[in-house]
Amino acid sequence: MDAAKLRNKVYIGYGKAAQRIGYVAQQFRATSAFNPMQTTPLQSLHASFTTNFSYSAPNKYGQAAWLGVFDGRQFVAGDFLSNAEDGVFFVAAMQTTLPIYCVQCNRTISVLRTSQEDAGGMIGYGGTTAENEVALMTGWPASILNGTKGEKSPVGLPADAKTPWYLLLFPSYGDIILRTSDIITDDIGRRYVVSSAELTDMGWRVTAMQGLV
Amino acid sequence: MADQSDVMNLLAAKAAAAVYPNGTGAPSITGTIVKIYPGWPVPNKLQTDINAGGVHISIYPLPTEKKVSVTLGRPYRVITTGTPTLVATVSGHTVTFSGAVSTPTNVYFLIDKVGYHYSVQNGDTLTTIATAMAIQVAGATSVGAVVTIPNVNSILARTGGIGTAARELRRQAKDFQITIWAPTPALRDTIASALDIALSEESNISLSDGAPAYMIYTRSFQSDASENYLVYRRDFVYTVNYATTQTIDAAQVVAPVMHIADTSNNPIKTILE
Repeated sequence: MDAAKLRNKVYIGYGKAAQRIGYVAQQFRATSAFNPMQTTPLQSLHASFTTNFSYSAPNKYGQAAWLGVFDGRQFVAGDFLSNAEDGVFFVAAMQTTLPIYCVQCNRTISVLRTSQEDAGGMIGYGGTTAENEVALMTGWPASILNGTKGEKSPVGLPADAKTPWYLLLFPSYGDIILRTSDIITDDIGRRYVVSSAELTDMGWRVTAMQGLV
Repeated sequence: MADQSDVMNLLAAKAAAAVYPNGTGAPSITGTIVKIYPGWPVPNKLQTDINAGGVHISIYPLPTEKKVSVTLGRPYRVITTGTPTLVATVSGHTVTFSGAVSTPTNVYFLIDKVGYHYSVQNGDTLTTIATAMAIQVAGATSVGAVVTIPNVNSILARTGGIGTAARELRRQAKDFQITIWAPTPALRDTIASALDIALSEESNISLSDGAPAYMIYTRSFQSDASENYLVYRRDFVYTVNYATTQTIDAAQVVAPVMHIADTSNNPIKTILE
């Protein structure tokens, strides 16, 4: 027995348990930076998600992380699992012999970056507009949960409230490196401006300010 | 009276005329929907409209204003004369009422230098007015709308309505901010260019109280601070010099009376004209 063999056995065990307690989910893996959930599923398998192995506590508000119980032998970090019953999860980490760390995704996001012409000379008005935002990633499931702070909106309308901040979690892909001031939009029409983007071995952990008038 | 809400409405109307030169039923100069209003944008509507490519123009008075010197005295000026709809026509020994009866209207006869007055009441008709005048004058009779006054040398008949007069209580030069909220710099430029010309074209403006007012360009500024929100903004500040006025009802004079007195203020003669 070595670590790799032990790990496989543990995953097989998860798989057997999931057959009894989990619904059938489909596994997706991004093949490009665009619409990973529209790729062909790699497999269908039983999967269960829990907060602890005694199944004794529900997941709570503000808590994106779950433990995944499924046969993880064909998985790598960043893969998605989706079913109608439990929703969409991405595999954040598969640390050696440890439980599979999953993040529940409540939104679908696109990551945009303002571009400007590369040529020299006069190149038009400078600024972020909807037109010159280029998509780096589109259609990615992500976790968007309330952040901690808010600040005054620069729009300055009398009816403005403080602008909220959010914490976003989603997988990294390829060599795409997010930066401050990148724009993230989601499927309910919200718009976020990246404040800090931390690239971890579990994917992107981003704090972003909501940019909604 | 005119106050800053009148000025805001006027600025909004001028902006609307510049942006919708063919009327609001026709497309705007940018082809997109442009909303123009006094006040401030409502966040959710501004967001929806910006996302749809629309533009908002909001108008709001700034706290800044300048003191304006005014001349001494506060004379009333006639704004409307209150031309009556009731007409009294003298012909020989008869006075005939015609036209429409409305209140308030004063009716006055000057017969052989003696005045007779009646204020038209609600529900009066030409006939009842004629009756009301006839019973005041000795020997006069009325049939329908015609009053006959025999055996007199001169008959004058006048009708007068109630107009309005106003006076300036003070005058101020107040700054008004006209803000363009656009989804792109290009749209902002198009609207701003048209708006700037339209607002600067004519400095004399008319407000509801008829007092002279004028507006002049003061400054403008542009802000991309909210570009992450996809909101591009430009502000024009125009200074509007307008009066705060008081308006009163002013009855038309139907019975001028001239008193003549000596230097000790002893009455010599009273003349009714």
